[in-house]
Amino acid sequence: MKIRKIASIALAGLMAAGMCLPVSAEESGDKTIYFMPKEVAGAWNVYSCTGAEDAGKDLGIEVIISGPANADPTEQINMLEDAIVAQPDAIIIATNDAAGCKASIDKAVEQGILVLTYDSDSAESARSFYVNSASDYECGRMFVQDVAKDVAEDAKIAVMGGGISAGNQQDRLAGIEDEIAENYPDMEIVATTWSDDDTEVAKQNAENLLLANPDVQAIIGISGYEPHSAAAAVKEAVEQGTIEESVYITGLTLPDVIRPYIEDGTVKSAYVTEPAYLAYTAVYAANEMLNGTEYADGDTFAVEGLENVEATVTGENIYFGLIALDSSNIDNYSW
Amino acid sequence: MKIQLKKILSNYNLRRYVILIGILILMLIGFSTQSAVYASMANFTNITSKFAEIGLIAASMSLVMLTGDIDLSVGSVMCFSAFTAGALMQNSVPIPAAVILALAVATLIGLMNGFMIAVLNMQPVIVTLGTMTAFRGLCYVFRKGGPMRGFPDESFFWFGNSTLFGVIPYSFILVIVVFAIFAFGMKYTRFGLDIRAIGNNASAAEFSGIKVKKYRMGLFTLNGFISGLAGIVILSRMQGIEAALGDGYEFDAITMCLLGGISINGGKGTLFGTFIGILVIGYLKSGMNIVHVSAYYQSAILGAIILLAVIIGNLEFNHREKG
Repeated sequence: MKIRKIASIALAGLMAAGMCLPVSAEESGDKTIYFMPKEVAGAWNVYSCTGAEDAGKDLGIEVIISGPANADPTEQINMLEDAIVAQPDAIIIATNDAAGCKASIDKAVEQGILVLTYDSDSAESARSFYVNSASDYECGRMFVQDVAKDVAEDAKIAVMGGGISAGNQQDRLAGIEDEIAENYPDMEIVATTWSDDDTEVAKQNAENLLLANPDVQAIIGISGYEPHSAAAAVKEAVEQGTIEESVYITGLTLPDVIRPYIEDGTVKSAYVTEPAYLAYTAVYAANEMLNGTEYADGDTFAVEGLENVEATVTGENIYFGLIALDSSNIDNYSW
Repeated sequence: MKIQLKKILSNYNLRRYVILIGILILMLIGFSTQSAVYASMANFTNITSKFAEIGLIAASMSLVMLTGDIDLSVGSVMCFSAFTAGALMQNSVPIPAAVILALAVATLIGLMNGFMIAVLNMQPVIVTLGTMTAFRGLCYVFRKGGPMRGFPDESFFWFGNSTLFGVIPYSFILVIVVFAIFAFGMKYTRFGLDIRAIGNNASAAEFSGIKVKKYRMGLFTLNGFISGLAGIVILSRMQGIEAALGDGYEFDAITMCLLGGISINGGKGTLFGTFIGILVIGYLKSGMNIVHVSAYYQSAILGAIILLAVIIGNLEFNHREKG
């Protein structure tokens, strides 16, 4: 009996002690940056964490990855609060809930912690900069320029979007419309569809728009759910003879879903945000700012440690550029 | 001295307190060697404000578990109540009215649980699993799965984000008050005795004249009300709501109760034990974040803590058989 009691107490003690063992804090530098992804799961986020850690090693600063196991907004805010208590030099966060993180971000800034956002902004908070690949509005303009260059300046195009109310979707659509109005007045948008970020719906939208507009020459997908769904629909329509020739497809995508369509030639090229570069650029910029660099609108700077990556400061945003995927480089990317 | 220690350790509740407080002290020392801020008042404020909602739920969950029942719907009811209050406020209903209506809705859900379980004699796990899933689904209906933010009068954010003397969050004071009321009721009123009697042997309690059905129904209703209250607190603290808010809170609350010594079979354990259970888990989670334990290890360590609670409970069970 006694042994059991002692054993249970010893066990409790051991477990409590064990909790403190695996956590010997690395002190690799004098600066500490918390890097807080939406979640620490999923290939995209795992790649972004690798980029942040690489930047930490290259710059000689301690980068601490802290994020929920799944993209849980409440848990992330709890972890953000814990990060603030730890008083790091900077926090770099991709918010699961832009408005929900505002109060905590403001508190961190008040306490003198530098806060940057990446991937998913909290625009109304007091964070210094939002780091991403490209401005949503400029993306829209770029897609139109690609269509004009690769198809025709008077092409009939369709725009496929995800969530109609999402800010980034509206900005990209505005970019498309403005670029057409200003530079390619003969180009015509024959259809605009919304999938609510659902691949199945996106594919149906694409099928419907091909039936209704068999003369459409290009499809621009402005959410990650669209280009591969459009490609699947176009491929089927060509095989079934509904449309005579393939339709040009471009837009924002992810390497794993678009790969088969780039390999079989349905899609010539589409754009992705490189997560490791994004994270690296964010950590790099934070470190520079901690060293006293002040970024102003219009500045450009090379991200040392990454080849050929130059970032541009636009207002409160830092953009480092999208990567164009095509048959030559698709095998280098997977997430 | 030795005899006194033996006495303490042979008492189920006291032994649990000693072990939990021991773990707490070990954690405070252990994590503090890694991070100076861990044992600070700032972190106390940080932790207690985060655990207010789950603390409230754990308090009434303790009572439900003491009668040998279980309620899985608490997280969903919390979220649903927050959405109800939020939706009413967005439609210009005054804050007090919105809060009262949301609490009434949560209480009704609890009553519904209690009616099906106590009167219709259905299994608590099945009934509350049903309400948990149904009301989680309804939470997604409010904003098509999106968050709800922006209210005409945001003065109620004050409650979830302010502290007494700059140290103790008001929401945590609410937790202490609720625990104190429940603990008083358990210790000094008929209510407490009856609940223990039901948990130890429901049929025997029934035969001795205790209105078991009324108690069970009442406790599920109370649990609904308290979950609704937690919803109001979290709405105030987070300044908005997500449809997934409180997902998994039922298991977190049950874990805290079990760790604090509430037996899953009912009849055994105290509210004070649950209260220390909350502090242990709160400080453990925060400590792991502060000293940078990855989210994956965190789940594993929390799992180990749950097992620890089971092991201690099981040792006690054997002891009684032999004793």
